[in-house]
Amino acid sequence: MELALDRRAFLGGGCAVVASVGHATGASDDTNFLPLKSPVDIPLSGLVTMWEPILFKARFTKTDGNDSVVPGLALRTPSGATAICTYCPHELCVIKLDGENLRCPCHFSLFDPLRDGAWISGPALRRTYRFRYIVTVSEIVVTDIEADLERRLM
Amino acid sequence: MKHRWFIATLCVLGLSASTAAFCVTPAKMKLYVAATGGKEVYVIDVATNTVSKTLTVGSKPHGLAVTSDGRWVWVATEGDGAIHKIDAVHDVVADNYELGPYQQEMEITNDGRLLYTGRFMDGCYDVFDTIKGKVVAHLPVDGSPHNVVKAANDDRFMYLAPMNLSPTGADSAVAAKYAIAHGVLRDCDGKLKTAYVTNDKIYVADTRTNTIVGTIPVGNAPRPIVASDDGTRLYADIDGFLGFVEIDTAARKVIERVKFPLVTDDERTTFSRAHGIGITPDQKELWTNSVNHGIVYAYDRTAEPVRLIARIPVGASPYWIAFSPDDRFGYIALAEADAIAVIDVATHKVITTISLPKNAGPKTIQVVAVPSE
Repeated sequence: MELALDRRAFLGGGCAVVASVGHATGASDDTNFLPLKSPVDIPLSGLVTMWEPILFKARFTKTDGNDSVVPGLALRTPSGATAICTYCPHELCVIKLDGENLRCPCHFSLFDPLRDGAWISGPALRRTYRFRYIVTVSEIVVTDIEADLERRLM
Repeated sequence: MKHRWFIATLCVLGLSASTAAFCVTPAKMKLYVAATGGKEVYVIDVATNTVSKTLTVGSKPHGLAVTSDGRWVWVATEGDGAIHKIDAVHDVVADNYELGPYQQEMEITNDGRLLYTGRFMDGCYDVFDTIKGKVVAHLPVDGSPHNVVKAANDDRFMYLAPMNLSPTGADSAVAAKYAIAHGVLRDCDGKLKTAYVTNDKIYVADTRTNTIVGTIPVGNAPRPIVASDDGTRLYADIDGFLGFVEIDTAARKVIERVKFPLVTDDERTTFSRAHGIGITPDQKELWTNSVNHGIVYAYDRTAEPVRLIARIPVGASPYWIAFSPDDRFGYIALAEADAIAVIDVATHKVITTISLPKNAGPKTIQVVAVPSE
């Protein structure tokens, strides 16, 4: 974590991150979710190699009736298989896997894939928007997206 | 266009009038790239589209301002709150000044004397006198100072465009609460702020008096802005609007709101935002970016209202725009790809991409016609 309080990193710890470390599901707290139009299935056979992501897109219908497509990334880490929304919560740039961190190319917020997208540093303030997903013996099935994202997409 | 392509060196060869011959050494064209991911400014030789020099200036270079003679390039580094003066002929750092944290974009008067620079967390633009080497005036504003431009042919006014801590009011409020709690929101005089006011306007600063003489409401936080050379028009990307606004500077009001056309299902359903805007040196075209869609839009400025003439796919995250002074090339900083796309202005096609080191994070870019020694 950056300690310097500069514009990109001044948000040092105030974001009440509640990342779910458990990866078998994307949610066990009071986060509200919206259902995807159809589940996204990511075969685990495509995630054999650690830290080699599979990119995917998930579609949901907003309350105004229009569809929105959300970018995601599935990944196998030492913590297990995970599915992370790759919109940076700061300005909705698309974050990328950079070594063992998720990094926003616009303002350099960092997120931790080992903790399901927990915020590390930068102006994003919070963890990545959450997917609800389950991990079966053969695939990750992504079923819902965090409802708070919709506010940003309206 | 901030700097001119009229620089030439007249040289006289021979020892007598009868044998004297004149030659004109054209200015050398260089692209300066403020690479926010590290401490570097990359200097690219536009003749070969390769990096000719890497200058280490300070943490997180962001803004660039170029003197009209192309001799000096000023760089703001937000990570260490400094500005740096680069000798563009020799590509060395000639001077450094610490001004305070969070330096962002900059603009300079045509005589090279006054540099206007924003301090993101302090609600303040500083006016730095380049001769005296110190700040001579402050311009307090709402929001978070970020961009500033002038018209190339008329520097009577500086147009200040503060953004907000976050693109939405709710998220700005959360960020402001945290920043206030940690003592990083200050006013021009360095006093801690107890409240944060979001901004939805462009400020007009008079360079003769260094005072704010007007504002132009734009409906949300202005992002990158550009002025026509004659100063009659401003164009601005703004938060929450996938397009740009056109401003009549005399009336100080928005006269057009131009939305990008969303053609594909992917464009209609995938969030994007406008960031990066520029006018070709001949003043005929306006270009601006759709970041998440990876598209540069080119509009014909000779039409009223402006007319879309090209959609130029460039891949991910087009972010800042610059043009070569001869109108041949447009340059697009690709933040996500750590690269610069080079576009042929005549055909609106990408002709090459210049790669930068991984995580360079290219931000502001400027093509400079650098005079010979």
